[in-house]
Amino acid sequence: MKVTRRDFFVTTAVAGVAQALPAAQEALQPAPEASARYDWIMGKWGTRFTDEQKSEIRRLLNDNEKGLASMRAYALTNDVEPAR
Amino acid sequence: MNVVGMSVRELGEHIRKREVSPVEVAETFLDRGERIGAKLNAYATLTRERALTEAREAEKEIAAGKYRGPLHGIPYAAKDLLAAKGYPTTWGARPYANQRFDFDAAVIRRLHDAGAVLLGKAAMIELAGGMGYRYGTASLQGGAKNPWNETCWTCGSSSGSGAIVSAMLAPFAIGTETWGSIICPSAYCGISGLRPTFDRVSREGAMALSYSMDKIGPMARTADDCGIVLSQISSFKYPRPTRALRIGWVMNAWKDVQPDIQKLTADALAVLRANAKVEDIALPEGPWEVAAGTTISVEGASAFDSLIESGRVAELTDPLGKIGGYVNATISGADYVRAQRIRTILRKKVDELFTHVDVLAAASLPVVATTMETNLETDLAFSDPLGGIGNFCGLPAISVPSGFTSKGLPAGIQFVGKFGDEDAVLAAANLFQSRTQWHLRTPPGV
Repeated sequence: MKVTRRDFFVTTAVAGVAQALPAAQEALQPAPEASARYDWIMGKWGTRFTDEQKSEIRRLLNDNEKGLASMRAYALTNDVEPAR
Repeated sequence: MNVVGMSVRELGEHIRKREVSPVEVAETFLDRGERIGAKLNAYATLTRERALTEAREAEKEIAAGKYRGPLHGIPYAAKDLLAAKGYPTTWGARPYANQRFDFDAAVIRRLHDAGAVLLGKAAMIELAGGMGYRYGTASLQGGAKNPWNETCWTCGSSSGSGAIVSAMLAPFAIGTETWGSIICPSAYCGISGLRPTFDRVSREGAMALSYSMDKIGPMARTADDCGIVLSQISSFKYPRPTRALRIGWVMNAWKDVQPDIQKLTADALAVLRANAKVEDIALPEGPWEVAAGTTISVEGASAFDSLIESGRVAELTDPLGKIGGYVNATISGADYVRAQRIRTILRKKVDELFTHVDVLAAASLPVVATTMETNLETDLAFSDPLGGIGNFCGLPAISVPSGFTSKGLPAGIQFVGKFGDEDAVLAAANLFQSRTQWHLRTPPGV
């Protein structure tokens, strides 16, 4: 597995891990998990955001989800404990 | 005697011998802070009254024969996420613009006990970048300008600390790093910056961003100065006897390196090969950066949950900072724990790497300082496996100057050691600086 990209200066680091797709394509193919997380944010805080911010949040969640998917795909056996 | 630009070691000797007055030294640097610091957006606050009180006390003690050590009477700046009793501690962010604490952070207490003189609070990126940021201007104090070229940024999040040391507004400064925040400003600003092992330096009284990854460390003109300061803010002993070094030259630290940096890095490698045993080495591949990023994102969302919940993140300067916290708050507990399990695997792989070598070395960054207007999210997106691995595993690292590009901007080389082995990274950096002169250069016009 190879991480291909990170936004070095952006500590919402997960958002930058996956290669971004063109915005239009992303809008057509949101990951289901990203959509669920978007709905949760909007359900709780939706009135706080402008339309532009909502679009940005959707994009960040999609990028974020791709990064998380790469992490979930990494094989771990049951005996691997979390680092302390 | 002109004390501006002296190393901590050199200035400390003059103070010890009573050849210069700590009060005059403090006044000299306070004056520079007011004149040059303001121009560079380097300081959040100058602590003039405290500085002069501490300097007078140092002068009195030294005259009475009570010499505390190499930092006695030495002025410094502390990143504005460290509490300093009675002064604003803004964390670089508008929601905390009026925040004050009635105590000093542990690192400031240690420096006070060592006789050091606090000149002021160094400007920083808002919340150390904890909610994300897209521009170098993401700070309550405005973007910190690079003394080597004021149209360029200093990098962050220890942006003011980088500017202050580079512009010789103080002999050293305290910065912090969760991922890149000491190494990057040190490289951009042409100074030496040490990221200690995780938990080497107490974080009491420091803003928390990532409970398992935040580190506090010194930034100074030389690696030797970084060792001196670290020995005063932690239990680390310095100096230590010289040692033979095995250096692992990291072949896959950066994917695309600017041509100027490539040339300077090749020259730096030649210096290392002439003076130490160097072997090529490759970092293990895996989702380390994602796991480290997940950890910072979740811990940051937890650290600032009240800011997110209240909606006051909207008061942050940066457009990404206004929304990043909401995104991070949705990452699941299962994903966070998975990241910590991956950290366990990574630690084993890293331990294996350090059975072959004492330190890893690579260019500090693949680019030189960027302009203040650069969109960091779109224009500077690159993988940083060495920074990700080093910070996720809490490894010590140092960046020291490795030369200057044709446009006069500094480049850096970094050394990364195994957990707890600052001795090795300091030995490597001291070796490099004993064979090069780059750390002696100062920016024109300051």
